[in-house]
Amino acid sequence: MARESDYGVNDFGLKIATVNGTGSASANGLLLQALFRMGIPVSGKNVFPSNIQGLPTWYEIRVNKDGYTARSPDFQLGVAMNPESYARDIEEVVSGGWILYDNSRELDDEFRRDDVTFLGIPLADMCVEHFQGSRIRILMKNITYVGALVALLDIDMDVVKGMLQEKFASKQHLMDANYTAIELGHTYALEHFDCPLPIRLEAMDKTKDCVMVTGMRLPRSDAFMLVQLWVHGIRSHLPLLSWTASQSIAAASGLIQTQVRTTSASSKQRMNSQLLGW
Amino acid sequence: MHPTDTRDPQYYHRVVDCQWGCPAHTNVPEYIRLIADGKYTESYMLNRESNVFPGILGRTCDRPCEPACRRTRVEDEPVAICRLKRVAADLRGEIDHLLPKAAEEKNGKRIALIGAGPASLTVANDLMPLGYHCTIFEALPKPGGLMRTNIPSFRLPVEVLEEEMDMILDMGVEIHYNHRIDSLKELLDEGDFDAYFIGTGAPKGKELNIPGRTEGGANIHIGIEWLESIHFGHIDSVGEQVLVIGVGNTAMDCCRSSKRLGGKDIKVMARKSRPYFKASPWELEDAEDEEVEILVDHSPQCFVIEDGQLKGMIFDLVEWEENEKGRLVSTKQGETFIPADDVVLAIGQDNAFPWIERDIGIEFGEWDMPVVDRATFMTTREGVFVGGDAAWGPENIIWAVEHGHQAAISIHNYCRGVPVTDRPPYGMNLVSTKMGIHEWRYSNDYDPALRTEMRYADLEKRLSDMKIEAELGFDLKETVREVERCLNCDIQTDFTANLCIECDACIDVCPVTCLTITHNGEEEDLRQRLMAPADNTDQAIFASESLPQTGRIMVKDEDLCVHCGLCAERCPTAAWDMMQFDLLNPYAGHQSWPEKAITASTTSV
Repeated sequence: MARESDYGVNDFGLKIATVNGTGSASANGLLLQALFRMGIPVSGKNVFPSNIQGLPTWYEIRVNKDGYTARSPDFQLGVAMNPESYARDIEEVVSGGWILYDNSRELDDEFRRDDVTFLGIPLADMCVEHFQGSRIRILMKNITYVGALVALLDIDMDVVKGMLQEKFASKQHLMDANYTAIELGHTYALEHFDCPLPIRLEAMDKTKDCVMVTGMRLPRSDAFMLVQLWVHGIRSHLPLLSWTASQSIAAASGLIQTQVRTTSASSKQRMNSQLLGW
Repeated sequence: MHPTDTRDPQYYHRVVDCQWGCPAHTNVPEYIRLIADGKYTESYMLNRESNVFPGILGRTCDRPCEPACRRTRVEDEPVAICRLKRVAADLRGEIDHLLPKAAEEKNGKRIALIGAGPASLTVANDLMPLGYHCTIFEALPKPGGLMRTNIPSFRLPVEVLEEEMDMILDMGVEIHYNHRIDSLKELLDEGDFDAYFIGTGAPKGKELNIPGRTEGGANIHIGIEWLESIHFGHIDSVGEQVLVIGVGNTAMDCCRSSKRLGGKDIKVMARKSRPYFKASPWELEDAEDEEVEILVDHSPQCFVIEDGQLKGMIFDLVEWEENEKGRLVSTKQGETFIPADDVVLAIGQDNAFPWIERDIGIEFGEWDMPVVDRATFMTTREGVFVGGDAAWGPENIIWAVEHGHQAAISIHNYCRGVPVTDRPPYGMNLVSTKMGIHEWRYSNDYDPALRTEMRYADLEKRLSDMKIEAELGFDLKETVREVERCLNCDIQTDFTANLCIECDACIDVCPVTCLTITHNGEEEDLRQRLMAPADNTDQAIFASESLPQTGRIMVKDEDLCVHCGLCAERCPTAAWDMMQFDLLNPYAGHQSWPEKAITASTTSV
């Protein structure tokens, strides 16, 4: 039986279950970074037991106003996007929590729980209606659930759109598609659910002068990275240099994320997007 | 072979065997999926759109969909489509707000409907929302026609029948009971109506004029008249020994009714052997479960009457052989006497139109039946239409419903001065069911479960009362099991040639070897060059456009495909997609299909 837990504004955990190879890592990165840009201490961990397309993968996000960024023991919100892992993903959400899922196909009764709230959104149906082609539909489905989370968690839409703008400035058609997908999810959630949920976000200033670095891109040391950042003037393509064995192991075991103080607040936003691929 | 035009709605329609087999083209797979999702109301309404009487048909339909069911390609028994329809009807919620409503403003046109059976009721169902004033003339004191009088209550409870008829009549249909039309000429001459629809069924049971028929008349009954008398309470008992002559569905209703009226020894007498029986297999099964005996190769010779009282019948014992012309001929092997207190004749029905004068412009043809156009349902007199059993003899309710739909289109055209031969186009929606890399919006796992058996009320209990429904219907557990047997034939394997890289992965994964990449050729030749020869020419083969790399084509044998979706899951370029096909049936008043629908060009017949 799932645990009960305390939660609240800027204090909760969410876990997104997806399928490898669907582009969900980018969408989840967008989500994580949006929270960071709202000034809220946040940590993320990508769990991918295999890198084979089609196998399950998870992305954990812990939001903690007090700055605790170790992996969360509890998840108040589950985003269940992989039918193969529905059973465990739904089970992992604490009592009183919420589960967001794609109800283009009804959830089997066997997965239902009485002590959580199911938030069904016809994500696939909406993407079929609005996007052409199998690949783009699968990609945009991820962005659509991010759009729903924007409404459910009260994420600053301007921040999200700003990041999309940075990412796709030179690819208008992709920006349009991402905007459409974000709006689809956002509008649906606003129209069908009481938004925001009790677990929600409020802007803070706890990430001022910080950059977010993920384990996959973590250089040998923070100091070394700062030198690199300085040398390259925080331009594009932050170099990933000589990995140590221990760092490789750390990276392979998941995503290590930390927040690094910088001397230049103005450089922070650009670094964020570059480091996380956005 | 030319590339297959999958944008013609009839191509994919043909692939959905059950829907193609259904005269009303009910979207069977979708209503089954809705049941699987617990959406009984939606399932009921989807049914009602095409077949109008889901609750009635879920109990009584002759099920042309089931022999066609693709499930029989992989095992013996089809999906229990009909019984699932009943599940939707039994478990649906409130639907008043979903039912069609009569137009608030009448259009000034008045339609006479003769007979209150399923065909006439369907015409009223389709025309009332368009503003027509519909008036039904019914000879009996209640509506329903043969649905009411010929189908016993233990198969179709009266409340189910009346509820679904009321959904139509409550739109404000004017109905005159006990009002038999004795002269069509008179009705036409009165000039009160803009169009006339004849839906009087095939109300005349066939006679068996052999010696003793007249003398034993008191205990020799015409099946459909006898059933009608039971329904209206004029008959409530029968002798202990009953012979039912004939082995069609009416005979099954007669023998099972006999059991409920006190008959102990009930025999159904068949002239031929089982392969030639006209009754549906499930009706035969139900009768035999109720301990009715069926005797084959017994040809009636005469009724035996003693002191003016029926004592039984003598039958010739016959053997059947095909003659040189391929016709069955019998040879008498002997004869036998079988005692009987009552005999019920159920050897067929005839149409009877003594009330239609032959000089009013309605041409009569073979079998003294009015000449009726197969597409428009209009007779040779403009403005007079015929449908249901009255058109071409006895069929079944679902055919009558479809006749009603088509006649309503014609009447609507006729009343607006549009040629009745202008038929609105069919359309289709084709929507991807892909939700993720290996995720589909339908259950594509093959479930090896065998057909779910129906449960029946306790035999002794059900035979004690004509009104106890014999079939109990599926419970939730049985429903869940049965819906999973559907192969979702409406989820089409849709191929985009210019995406194909000819990797052969789909061919490799296909469990029924229905895919082949090969050089083009004539269809006959292609059919023999496939991974497995496509010998069933009743089913199409799909031929793609030339593939970009080699110019060969993708060929798919629609007969073999089980719609598992593995080709689409395996395809690395999404050249295969599993697309949900939704046939858009046009009804009277049709104006246009949604913008995204694929529409066949307007048809004319």
